[in-house]
Amino acid sequence: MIELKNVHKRFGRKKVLDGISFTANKSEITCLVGVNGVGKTTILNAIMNLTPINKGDITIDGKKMHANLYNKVAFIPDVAIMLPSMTVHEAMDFMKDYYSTWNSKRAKEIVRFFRLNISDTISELSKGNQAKVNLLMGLALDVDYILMDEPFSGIDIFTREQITDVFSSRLVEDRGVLITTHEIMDIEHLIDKVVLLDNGKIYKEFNAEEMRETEGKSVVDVMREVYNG
Amino acid sequence: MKKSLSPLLKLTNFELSRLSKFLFTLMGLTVLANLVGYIYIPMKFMDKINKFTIESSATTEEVLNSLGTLSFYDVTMSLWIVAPIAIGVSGLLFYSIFIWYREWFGKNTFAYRLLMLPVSRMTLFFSKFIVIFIGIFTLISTQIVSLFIGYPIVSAIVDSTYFSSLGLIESMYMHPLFLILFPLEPNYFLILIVGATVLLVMFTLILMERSFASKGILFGIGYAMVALAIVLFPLFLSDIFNNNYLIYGSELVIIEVVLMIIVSISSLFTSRYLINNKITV
Repeated sequence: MIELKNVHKRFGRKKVLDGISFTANKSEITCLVGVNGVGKTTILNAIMNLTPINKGDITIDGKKMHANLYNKVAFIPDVAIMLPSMTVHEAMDFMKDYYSTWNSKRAKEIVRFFRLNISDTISELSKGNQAKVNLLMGLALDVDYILMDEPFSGIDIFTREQITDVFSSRLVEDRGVLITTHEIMDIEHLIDKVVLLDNGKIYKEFNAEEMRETEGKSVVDVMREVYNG
Repeated sequence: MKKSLSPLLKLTNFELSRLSKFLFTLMGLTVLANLVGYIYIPMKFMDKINKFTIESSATTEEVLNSLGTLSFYDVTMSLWIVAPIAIGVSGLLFYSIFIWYREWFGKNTFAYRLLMLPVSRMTLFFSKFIVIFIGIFTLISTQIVSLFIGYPIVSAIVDSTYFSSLGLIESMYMHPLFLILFPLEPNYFLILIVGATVLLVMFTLILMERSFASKGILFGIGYAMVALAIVLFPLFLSDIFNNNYLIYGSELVIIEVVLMIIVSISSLFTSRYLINNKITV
């Protein structure tokens, strides 16, 4: 379980996270929802110890983030994070060299699934294909948790469909997924838990299915209520 | 690469492959400029000798009196040798900064990947540190090899009558830059300690900037100034107390080494804290 307890973060004078507490469980898809600048990416960066927090605690299965845990948690940011001069094949080799949890068989499967050409240089790929490479680097790791930051941003509709398919495939099966996205409609039916952020705080935390069954509202309906006032 | 290799070796090898193009360029530049110097300077000198001999119908003795001899040392003091060294030093200084910042800027953000590697983040730090030193030693070796190639070239071009008997090793010992850069004296280790300390302080400064942005630059400058003051302070003790016999030369060396080690260790600990807890992508 990924657990955030009373997490505070400031950038200069601006308070970005103001006492955030929530959990993301294994075998569940948890979605962080909020308008731009609400702190979604900061939360993911903080979990991966890529941004220091000012106050609070973040633990993964009860432990604070440390080097070995990067073999257990994969982060797929919305920017390309491998060297642009690398080919997809070299990027895969790089991952294999450092991560004991790199699964070569699954990597090949994902390459086929996304129809990537491993001899292509990353810098020459389209934004959509770079996003696929990012997904490949994260999904081919035998990790317990996957963090994804805006996986659909700036992606064409066909690539988006392919990425959506990932969520219902066995590529994320049994793993805990924590995802931030604006394009919630694409994956709404797959989400287990929603954490709605507003002004650096958690506005609402709910189970998507329960919300549908008890109040007859979709995640988008709840978002409209919150953000449209 | 084999999985059995330690992460430090793997990362150092990786960093080295990223440095290689730049390093080969600097090595090529050094060799090329040196070769031009080894050929151009003696040829120009011999031209002057021949011209003077023909125009003045001078004897060898008169030529020697007027134009003197050319030594290998004279060649090494020329810009063809000194400029590539200056370019190499500034190139590696630039690379010491670039080696960090390239991970954050540009189209891709490789800092994400490096900081999320399942290895101690100090491994990353040390791999960058080691690679800069490999670069330094590679350029120094290139320069030494080049001098050994250059000496026979110069002596072949210059007529033995006009070639000073000053040998290659003597020329090296006379050269102010080679005395600092080459391991000619037993106290060469002092130069290495100075180099390592400067690099560690510089890396700390960069990590402060990467951790605290503009505030970090101020912290970094403050840190570098304090480090400099600590290391330079003993050099001014005699002046402060107006007593030239306060510290002997050998004692001063020991004090300086100890102070530089203290600054280096504190830089290492500060860097470790920053890279583990404060750095931001």
